[in-house]
Amino acid sequence: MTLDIVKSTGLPRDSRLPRVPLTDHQHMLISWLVPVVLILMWEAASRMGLITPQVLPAPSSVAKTGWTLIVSGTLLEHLGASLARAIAGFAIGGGIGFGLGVVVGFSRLAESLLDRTVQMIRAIPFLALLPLVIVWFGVDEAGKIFLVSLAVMFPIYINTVLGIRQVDPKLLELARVTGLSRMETVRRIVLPGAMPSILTGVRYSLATAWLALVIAETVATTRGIGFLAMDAREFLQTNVIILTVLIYAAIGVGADGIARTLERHLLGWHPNYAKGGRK
Amino acid sequence: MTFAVNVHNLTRRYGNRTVISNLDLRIEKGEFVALLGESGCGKTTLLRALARLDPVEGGQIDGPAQPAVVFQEHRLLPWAPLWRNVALGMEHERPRAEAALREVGLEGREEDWPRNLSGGQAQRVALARALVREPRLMLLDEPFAALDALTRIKMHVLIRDLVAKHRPGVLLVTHDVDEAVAIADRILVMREGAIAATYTTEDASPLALRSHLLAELGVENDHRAA
Repeated sequence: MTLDIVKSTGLPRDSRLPRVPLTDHQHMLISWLVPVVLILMWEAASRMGLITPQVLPAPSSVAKTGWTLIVSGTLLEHLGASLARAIAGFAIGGGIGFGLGVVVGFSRLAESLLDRTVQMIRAIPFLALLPLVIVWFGVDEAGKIFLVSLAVMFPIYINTVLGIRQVDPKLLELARVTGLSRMETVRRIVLPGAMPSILTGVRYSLATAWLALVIAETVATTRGIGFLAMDAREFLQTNVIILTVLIYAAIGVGADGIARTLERHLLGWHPNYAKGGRK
Repeated sequence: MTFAVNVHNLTRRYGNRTVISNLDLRIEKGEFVALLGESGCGKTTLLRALARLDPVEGGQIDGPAQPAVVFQEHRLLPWAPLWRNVALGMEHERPRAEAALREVGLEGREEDWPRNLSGGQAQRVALARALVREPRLMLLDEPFAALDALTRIKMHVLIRDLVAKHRPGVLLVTHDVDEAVAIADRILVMREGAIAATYTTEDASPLALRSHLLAELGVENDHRAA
C-alpha cells in the first residue's frame, strides 16, 4: 500500500527532499530568520518612501528615538514609574489572592462564607470599573495600583484554591500516620503539592496585570510608559508610540521569563518542568 | 508489656452494615502476623482501625497511637528528596534517615528524587520511612501487590531480615497465600468480619499449609501436600 502511494505521486524515490540533520543551535538561528527579514523589508520600504513615517516610521527611526530617550533619562523615569505600579499592584493583589485562596482552600466554612462573593466580584470585567476607579481614587497612583491588584488577585486566588484542593488525599492520610502537625502538613505536603497550580496562577496574573497597567496608564497620567504613548499621540510622534508598544512587549516577555525561572526552581522535582521548563 | 497491639471486642460499622464484629487479636513484639482473606472480608478495615485512620464503633485497641504504615502505593512525596521522605516529620534526623536508606539498600541515593526510582525501590523507601520511627507496631497493607514476582521475593527476604532486627509487631494484610506462608509466623484467615482460622508456620510444612489456606479461602487446589 505504501508502494502504491509512492507510485501515485509519480516521483522517483531519490527526488524527495534529503533530510538534513540540524543542531539545536542551527534551529535557533533559523527561528530568527523570518522576523529579521520582515524588519529589513519594513526598513527598506520606509527608505524607499513606500510607507509614510506618520503611519509607520522606519525601525531605525524608532531605535534612534529610543536611544535619545534613554540618554536624556526620560525613558528610565517613565519605565520606573510603570514598573513600580506593576510591582505594588502585584504584591497587594497577589497577597490578597493567595491569602484568601489558602483560607478557602483549607476550610469548607471559609468557602461557604467567602467564595460566592469573590466569584461575583470576579464576574465583573475589571476594565469596566475604570470610570468608577477614577471617581473613587481620582487620577493618581492609588487608582492604578487598585486596578492592577484587582487583575492579579483572581487568577492567583482561583489557582491557589484549586491547587490546595487537588493535593492527593492519600498523601494527607500519610501525614496522619506519620504524625505530622497541622503546620508541618501544610509546609511539607499541601503547599508543595499546590505549587504547580499556584505558579500557573502567577504566570496568568502577570499577563492580566500588564493589561490592567496599560489601560490604567492611558487615563490622565503624568508619568509612566502609558503617559509617554498618550503624549506622543498628541504630537503625532508615531515612532514614540511604536517604541512604547515595544517596551510593553519586552516587559511582558521579561515577566514571563521570571515566571519560568520560578517554575524551574520551585518545581525541579516535577518531570514536566525539570528540563528547561514548559514551552 | 510484651505485646505490640492487643485488640479486644473490636466492632466496625459503615452505616448499619457491620464490617467487623467483636474481633480479638493480640500481636506480640517481633511477631509477624499475616491476615488473609477475600476482598471485602474486612481485613483492610481492620488495618485502618489499628492505624487510627478510622474511628471504631466498639471495643478497645490497646497499642501505639501512631503505628507505622506501609501502603500498597509507596506514597512518597514527589517534591522531596529521598532522605526527606524517610525523615518526614523528623527533619533534624538526617543521619537516621541515611542509616535507614542504607538498610534497605539505597545508600548514596539520599538526594535523589522519587521519580527516578523503580517500583521496588520506591517501596523500599516507604519501608525505610516506616522503620526509621522504630515502631512498636508496623502495619503493611498489601505493600508488595503491585511489584513483579522477582522483586516481590527479594522484598520478602528484606522485610523478614528487617523485622528480625527491629522487632516491631507486624500485621501484613495480603491476598497472596504464598507470600503469607513465606514470611509470616502466624497466619489468620478472615471471613465476614471475624477471624475464621489461625495457623502458625510451625504447624505444617509450607506446602501443606498452603493447601489448607487455599481450602480455607474456598479455592479448589491440588492435594499434593495432603
